[in-house]
Amino acid sequence: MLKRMLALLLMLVMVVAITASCGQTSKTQTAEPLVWGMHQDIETLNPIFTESANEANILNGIFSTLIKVNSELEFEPYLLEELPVVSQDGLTYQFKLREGVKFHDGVELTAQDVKFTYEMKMAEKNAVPSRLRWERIADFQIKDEHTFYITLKEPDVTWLEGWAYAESMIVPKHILEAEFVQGGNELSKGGLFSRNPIGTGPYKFVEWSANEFVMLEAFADYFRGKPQIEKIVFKVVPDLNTMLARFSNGEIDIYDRVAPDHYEQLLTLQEEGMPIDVHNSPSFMSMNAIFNLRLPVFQDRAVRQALNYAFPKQQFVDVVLNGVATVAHADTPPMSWAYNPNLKQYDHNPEKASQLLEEAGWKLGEDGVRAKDGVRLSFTINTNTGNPVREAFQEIAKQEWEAIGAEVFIQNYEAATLFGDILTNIKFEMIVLGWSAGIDPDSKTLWHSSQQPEQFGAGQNYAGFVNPRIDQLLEAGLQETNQEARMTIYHEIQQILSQEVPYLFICFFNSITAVPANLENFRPNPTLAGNAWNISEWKLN
Amino acid sequence: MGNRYLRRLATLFFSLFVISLLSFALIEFSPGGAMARYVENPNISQADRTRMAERFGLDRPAPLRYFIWLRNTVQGDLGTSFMTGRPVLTEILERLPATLKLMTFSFFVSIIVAIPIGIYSATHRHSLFDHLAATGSFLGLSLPSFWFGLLMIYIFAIWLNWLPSGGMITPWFDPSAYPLLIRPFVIFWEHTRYLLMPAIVLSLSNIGSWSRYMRSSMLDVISQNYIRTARANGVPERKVVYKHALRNALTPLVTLMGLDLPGFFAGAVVTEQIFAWPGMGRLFISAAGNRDYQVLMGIIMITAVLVLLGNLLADLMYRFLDPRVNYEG
Repeated sequence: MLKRMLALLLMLVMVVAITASCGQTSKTQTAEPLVWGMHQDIETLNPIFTESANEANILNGIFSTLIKVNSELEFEPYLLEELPVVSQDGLTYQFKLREGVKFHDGVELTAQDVKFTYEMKMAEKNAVPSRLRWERIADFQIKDEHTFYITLKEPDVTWLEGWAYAESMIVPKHILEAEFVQGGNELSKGGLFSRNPIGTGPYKFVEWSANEFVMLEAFADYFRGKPQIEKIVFKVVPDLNTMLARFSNGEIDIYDRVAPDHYEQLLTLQEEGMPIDVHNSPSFMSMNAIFNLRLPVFQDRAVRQALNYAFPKQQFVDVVLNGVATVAHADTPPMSWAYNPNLKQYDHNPEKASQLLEEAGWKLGEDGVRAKDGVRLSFTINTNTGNPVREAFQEIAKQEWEAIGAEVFIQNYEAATLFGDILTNIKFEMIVLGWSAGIDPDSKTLWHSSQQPEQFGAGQNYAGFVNPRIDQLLEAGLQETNQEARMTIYHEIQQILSQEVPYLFICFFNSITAVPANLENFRPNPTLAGNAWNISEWKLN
Repeated sequence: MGNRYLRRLATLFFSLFVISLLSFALIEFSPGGAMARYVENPNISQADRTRMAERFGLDRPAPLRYFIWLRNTVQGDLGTSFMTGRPVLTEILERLPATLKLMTFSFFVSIIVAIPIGIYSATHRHSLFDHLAATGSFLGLSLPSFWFGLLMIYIFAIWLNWLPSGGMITPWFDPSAYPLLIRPFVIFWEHTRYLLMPAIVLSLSNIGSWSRYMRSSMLDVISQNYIRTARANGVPERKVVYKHALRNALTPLVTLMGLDLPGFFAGAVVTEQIFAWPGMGRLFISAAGNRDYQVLMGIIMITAVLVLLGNLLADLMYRFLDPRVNYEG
């Protein structure tokens, strides 16, 4: 009996303690940090090795870039006094660093750190994911503590933009050099620095718990003044449904890169009185179906145009994507300065599609499938599994195209197989993919005939598009420095693309982010800089 | 006796070798490759990918890579993760505690719930409770855990707001904010509230199968002659059930528990994903998706070791529970 009484008493104490502790937690809630939900794990916090958009958001807090691309797509100096001055021949850039910029350990930033960052990108043994922008540098000269010159191998108007993104964030030479030397002139993506990063950004690194969260804390000596929000936590929530759930009960404050089918639910939450803002802004992400132009069936332009006419792009955007996208007619998004608004458009018109095929000699066979010179209008659409938007495209396309006499199969692969094998080894007939463009309209790697990976071991011209005029224009576009002149060039490129349709250009996505209504200065940025690009300016009211 | 154990140990190592060979071959034959994840990134050129693959030694032929892997693994070096650039062992050891915590907790939840249900169902055969338990078990066995997990999140995290919907601990949890007296309880609760939902989801199917198994095993034993003898000798029913019958009924269940261990690891993969639990299951998913061969091999081998050891332990338990079992024979 006594034992039971004791056990009961113990239970009671525990219950009281638990309730007491619950009360306690809610009281301390004011000191809680801002929580950003990300649906992918991060791999490194060393900018030398970063390539993912998730890491970019966190690195925006810890490190700084030389320049920024703001939400209006304009360049701004960041670690620089002013935007770099370019020489007459377009080869040499003069950079002038701000004075008095401090790393989190109190050491001042100098031109040595910038040069060291470049050297780390190019160091032979470092497994740096991308050297595209760095390989173009011919020479790096330091004039004094805060002035340096970079000379390119050849003029390249797209080069400067790279300095605005996470991969070009400046690392401290006085810390990282020792690690580099100790590693036998090799840095590791998982080295000490990648877990204890020190930068010049508005936030200091506090803790990284693998697969769980990264915590940052405001840096008092930040060169633009200490940020207002004291602590920011980036929390990993791998499942998007769980993400929505956690956002709706307040465990997550910022839900970035919202799944298209969650958009309406977020609006409902807002209508029901949850104090949130749902940002819906255009992005550089596009969705395309790539024709394999090496196949006889797709070599005929009439076929490609007919398939374009037969697919209801606008309805797809309205119904499948809840309207949070814009129909595409070529490769350049409407917000780009080089966008051509007068392109050939393919409004849904199955009769015209049939007519085009008929005129081009694609006659209906006994099996109900069109054919010309023994080539049947039959193909397979591939994409990666687990992507409901791309799968919806396939279903609709199959239905619409079979109605005009095509035979369409669907076969999907897990992402690594699709990208690592089917795409790179050109094993597809038609493949549905997303591309992310830069703010510069240059798209040489997609369309230039020298960029066919299976022939030249480089490039992303997976379609196998060969067009001498396009080659000429793409080369001219990279050499021209006058923006007006460049605009004419890119308008013509888009014109040709919309006529030739090497892709079925589907749409440009909008990017949706839900944030607390009292978060000030949150301005979505469609570039690779990401939505945390101005994290230091955020304020909570 | 000693010989017997040596033989078992030899079998264990041989099994590990075969497992490693098969896994390596399977991973090798799956298309894609470790650089596939970079293909969709327009800033990473083919030359970049080739250069990185060479840095990782992926340009060597597969058999050679297997032997290098085997040689290093025997020496305790599981290689480096392509994703994070850190030693695979570090990556795994960092997450192993989280997975073991979840598994141990749900293992005990399963035992504590399943065994009493099984006993009660057996001793009250065809009662209402027995029927309800039967229905419940089949539900538990057949409910997909991702669905059940989301359902739990909607009920307990969103609707009732009693439990956090995921993670392992509040990042800014600070026990020193509480008075010393209740601090241990606060810490205990902080850990338990995150653990409860994933552990229940993970133990659901085991509760289902174990309670059914316990019931039938108990029924078998109860109908044995020695139980009838005990009853005839006037031993009280409670004592008959809990002292004589239970111990004998438990033996087959222990084997089943040992065999179910891999199931816990497999279940943890899904459960950890839903509840954002930072364990090995999560690491396994990203390693598989990113074709991080070294990490995959590492996790497979460590899981294999744990499972084989678990089975060995079950064998030993079996012997302890039933002295008639003798390895000499």
